[in-house]
Amino acid sequence: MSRPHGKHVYLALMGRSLAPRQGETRVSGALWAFGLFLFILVIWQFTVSFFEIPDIILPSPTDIAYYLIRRDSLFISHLWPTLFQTIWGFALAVAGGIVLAVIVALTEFGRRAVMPLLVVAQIVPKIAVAPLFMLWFGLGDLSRVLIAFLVAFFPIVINTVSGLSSVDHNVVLLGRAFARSRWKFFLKIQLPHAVPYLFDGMKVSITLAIIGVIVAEFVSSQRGLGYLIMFGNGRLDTEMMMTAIVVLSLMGLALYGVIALFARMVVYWRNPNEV
Amino acid sequence: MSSQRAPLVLEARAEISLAGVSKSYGHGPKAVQAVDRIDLDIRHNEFISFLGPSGCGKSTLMLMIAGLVEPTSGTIWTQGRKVVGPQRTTGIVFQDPVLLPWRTVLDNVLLPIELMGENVESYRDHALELLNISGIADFADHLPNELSGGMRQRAGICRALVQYPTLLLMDEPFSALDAMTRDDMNLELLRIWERDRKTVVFITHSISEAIFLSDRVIVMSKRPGRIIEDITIALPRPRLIELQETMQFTQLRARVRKLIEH
Repeated sequence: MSRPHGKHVYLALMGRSLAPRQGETRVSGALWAFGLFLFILVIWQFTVSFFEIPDIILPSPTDIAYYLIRRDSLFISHLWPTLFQTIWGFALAVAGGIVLAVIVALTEFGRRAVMPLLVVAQIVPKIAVAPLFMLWFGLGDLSRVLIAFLVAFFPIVINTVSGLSSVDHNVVLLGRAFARSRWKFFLKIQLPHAVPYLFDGMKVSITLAIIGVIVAEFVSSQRGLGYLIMFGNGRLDTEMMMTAIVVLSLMGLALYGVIALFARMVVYWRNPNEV
Repeated sequence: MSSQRAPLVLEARAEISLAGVSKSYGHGPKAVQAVDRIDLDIRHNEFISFLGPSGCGKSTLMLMIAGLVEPTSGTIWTQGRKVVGPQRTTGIVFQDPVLLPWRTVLDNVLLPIELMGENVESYRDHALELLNISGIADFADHLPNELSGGMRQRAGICRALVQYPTLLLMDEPFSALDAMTRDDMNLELLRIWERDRKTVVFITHSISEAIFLSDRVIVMSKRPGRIIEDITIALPRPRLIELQETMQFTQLRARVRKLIEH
């Protein structure tokens, strides 16, 4: 607690004070956010009942919770396809993104030809390509997985490239002085250096993969949480829509949490306050 | 204390010879001359310092001796052979030790061995001994971010010594440390060097540090870097911190300061 306040305020202004203060555990830090969340829920609940807002416009949090409990098997059965397609799309994005990043960071062709093309290609709103994918790859899971991949791979590439190419100049010199081969340098220095960057990319990428799958389900699907949202929309069942969104958010949170946890385990050398 | 700029003869004792070594960066009118016609012989097991203001091309000179930067003109020999690329017999210490954060201190020290593709196990004892000499053996299994700046630099020096170099190049290794740690490190460096002599090329912009450590101090000019003076430091060894308060030391320091201000 003896840390000078000035420094803390400065860090907060720099947007870097997400780290817990001294003497404060991560858990008690998270309690603040959770408290605010609960407060918002209470306001929401109160507003809905006080102004007698009809269910069809805005169901209250307890309505949603009750709906979820009442029809849990429905939501669980629609959760699985969305979850699996997200994971597949994400896995492809990570694998493809790493391969592309290595090509970009290590080869002249990649740096000069592939990278500019990738950047320009990001101007295309990838979601707009979804109907085309349905045409090319059919209405099955494959299309949705591929759309998720397409939406999610770019942050992996960008982050991994910046990790592979931001090795300290002196370490590069050390590598030039001693490394027997380019491969040794890549394996011993560049690749581990890029791992934290890769995980940062994965955190962005997983969220995008979910968006990809949901949009694909909007376009054409007979199951999945995205389908459920559209279905609820067609029947003016706002409770169903919002409950599906809640389940979707919980899924996203869980996936993000798994990645963050995995990152903390793998990137054991990084100060947790930096993350 | 004689100026030594006679044309070069490759004597057997010259560990490193520089002949008309120049380096400029860039081309045409925008070219920057970093180092200008350096002629110098460095003897075997000599501790030699390059002293000069920031940006006088000291670091460039060091990288050229290391074989990591090619001179624009002139030639460098080490042990009678022309330098055309990096050599395993050269160890390098940078201002910032830049240890790899995911490796333990010991694994960082062994990094050059791993990069060379040699058997790491056969160097492990030697690496531990180096850590022991530097007083950080207890931290062998710690990660770099658990160490203080001084300890990290000690590890950086161990890393430079691990492959039994005959030549040690040090580029302002202690300039990022506080004054007290710096004195400690200087003493320790001398202790290691006196125990296990090798040729050391030390780069610094601290006059006291250069005089305290070296057999010879090469005073360099502002850019483009030229040799202003080549001063032999005939102070007795082993040297202790108190040496810095002696008349002899103070006079040397005054003389060098005058040269630099000139």
